[in-house]
Amino acid sequence: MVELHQQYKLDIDKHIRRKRNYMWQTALLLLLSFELVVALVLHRDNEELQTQLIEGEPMEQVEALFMLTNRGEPEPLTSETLDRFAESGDRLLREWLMTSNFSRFTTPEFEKKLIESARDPVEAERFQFYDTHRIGKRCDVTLEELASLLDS
Amino acid sequence: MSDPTLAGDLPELQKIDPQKIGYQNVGAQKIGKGWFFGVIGLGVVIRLAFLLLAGDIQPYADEANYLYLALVWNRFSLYSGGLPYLWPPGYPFCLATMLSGFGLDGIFVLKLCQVILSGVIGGTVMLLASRLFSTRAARLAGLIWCFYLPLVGFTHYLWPETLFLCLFMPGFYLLVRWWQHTPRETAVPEKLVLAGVLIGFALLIKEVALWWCLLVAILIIIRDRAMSFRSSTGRAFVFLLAVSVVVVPWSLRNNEVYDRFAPVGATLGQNVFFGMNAYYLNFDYPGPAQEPAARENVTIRKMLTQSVSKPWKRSEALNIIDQSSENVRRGLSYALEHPSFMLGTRIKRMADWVSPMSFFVRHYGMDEGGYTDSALANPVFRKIAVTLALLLPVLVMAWAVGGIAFCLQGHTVRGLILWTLLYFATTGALIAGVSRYRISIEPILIVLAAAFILRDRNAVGNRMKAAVICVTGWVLLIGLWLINAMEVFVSGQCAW
Repeated sequence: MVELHQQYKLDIDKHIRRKRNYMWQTALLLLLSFELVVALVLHRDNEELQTQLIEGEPMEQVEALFMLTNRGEPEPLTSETLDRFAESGDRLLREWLMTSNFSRFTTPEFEKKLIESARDPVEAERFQFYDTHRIGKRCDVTLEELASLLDS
Repeated sequence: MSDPTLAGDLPELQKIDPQKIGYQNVGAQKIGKGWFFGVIGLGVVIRLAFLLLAGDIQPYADEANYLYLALVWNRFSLYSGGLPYLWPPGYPFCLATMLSGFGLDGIFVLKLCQVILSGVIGGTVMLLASRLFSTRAARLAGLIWCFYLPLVGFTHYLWPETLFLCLFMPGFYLLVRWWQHTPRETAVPEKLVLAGVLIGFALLIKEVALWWCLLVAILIIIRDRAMSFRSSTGRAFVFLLAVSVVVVPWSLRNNEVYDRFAPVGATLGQNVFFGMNAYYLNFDYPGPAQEPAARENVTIRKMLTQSVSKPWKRSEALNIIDQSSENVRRGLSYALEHPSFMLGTRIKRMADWVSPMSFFVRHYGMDEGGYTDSALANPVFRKIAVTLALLLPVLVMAWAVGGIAFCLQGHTVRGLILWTLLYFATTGALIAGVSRYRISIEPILIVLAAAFILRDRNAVGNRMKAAVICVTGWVLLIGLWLINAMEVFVSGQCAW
């Protein structure tokens, strides 16, 4: 009789654990679905990004350029577009053109021209930093250079 | 009459080997709270001392790249990857946050956080050893962890290993606890979910364990095959779901930015370019040792790594995920075209993976940067530290082989531990063998080493089989160490 009772308790325990397993599966699946829905809602296609590139605030322009180029959409990057960004773009956008992530889409001549067109010493220092410490080019940014950049 | 508890009053369970019963929660109580927190405190103090004595180490290699990414993140509110890698975002995010909050001092603050959080690794090592083996093994494992210099080093470098282990090891421990519970059908799913969540966050720091998660799911299904198929797959599914819930938002972000699927990052392609190519690179050796090491070891290295063809070139695809995929394809293609060269280089990579070298020793051997200008460069201290740093990995690996052979016999988690070790060894050997890729499992090796040293010599088990496995493992290890002996000797001389 005691053994039957114990076996019954074991069976109930297994049943409860199985139900909890299903509960967790459901909860996690719901959470995943929510994440997918959020991603779909926040999705921007290339046309929206190109509009953002032309009409957005500087930070938004950088974001648009970042996403378009990483998606493999270099169409907006004609040399005229690049020159326009370099000449009249906001400071932030000009800096972005010098970073490692963007160097695949420019040429050394363009980067040299950009460095020479620095509008003030702070911008010049930043351009120089990005150019010197390009990922893959030189792996030894010093703490002194970092301190100077952070202070500027 | 009180209700009988599951683990208490069932007469059948009392006759079963205690090792195969779901453990009571041993925790710090059995190790002794004083001992438990004392060892963690000792380990943290040692790491803190090294941090302070190391001073401001100039960033080197990936450290500089991580800083660059953090600066870009703060400046542009964008995570730009780590060309040509797409690194997971966790570590650059931590660095960016610290730099944003503390300026240049943010580097020290992050290292300090790494030192303090490393206590989680030490605690988990002891809990794991206590759970799997014995209280004495737990205490010894904790002490070994305290003084294990390769792990100490990573607490004051700008590399993500420490943060990764702070999440991965507790996740692994919870997985072991879930795995050990008997009867299996009554194991609570919450441990499995929490393990998955922790490992998911660990993947956002380093993606090395990505396919290990799938391996664990398969092991769960195989282990529980006696149950209904629905039950066993349900449990594996819960684990994968828990990991996915953490990782998928970042995967969706990658899809939005790159229009491609990358679960966490895309680092495999670049690692394949370095590791499955016609030239040989070993980032363990300090700069001054690279050429002399190559000269000293010329015969063995030539025998194993001499290529008969030109190296293959890295893909120039504009999309970084396409670039990584293409590099993997080129690496595999190269491997199939040169099978004997690949075999030789994989043996050399395995030798590199089990090499006693470490970034800690490398930092002593660098002619610029590293510990050169720090208080750690004191001549006497340097000799002791380098000797210990070279000796401890050798001892731990050798003892761990003994632990695998003697102490895991009949253990409920034997399969999980062995497959975990094999997975990380394979990634190291297949891609780019370097001691850093062994760091992910060194806490587990420390646990096995402690278990072997304090094993019960009268324990029942197939001792002949264990001895054969142990000796075979030692012979293989010694053979691999001999392959790199001259290189390690030259590097050690630079560091010494």
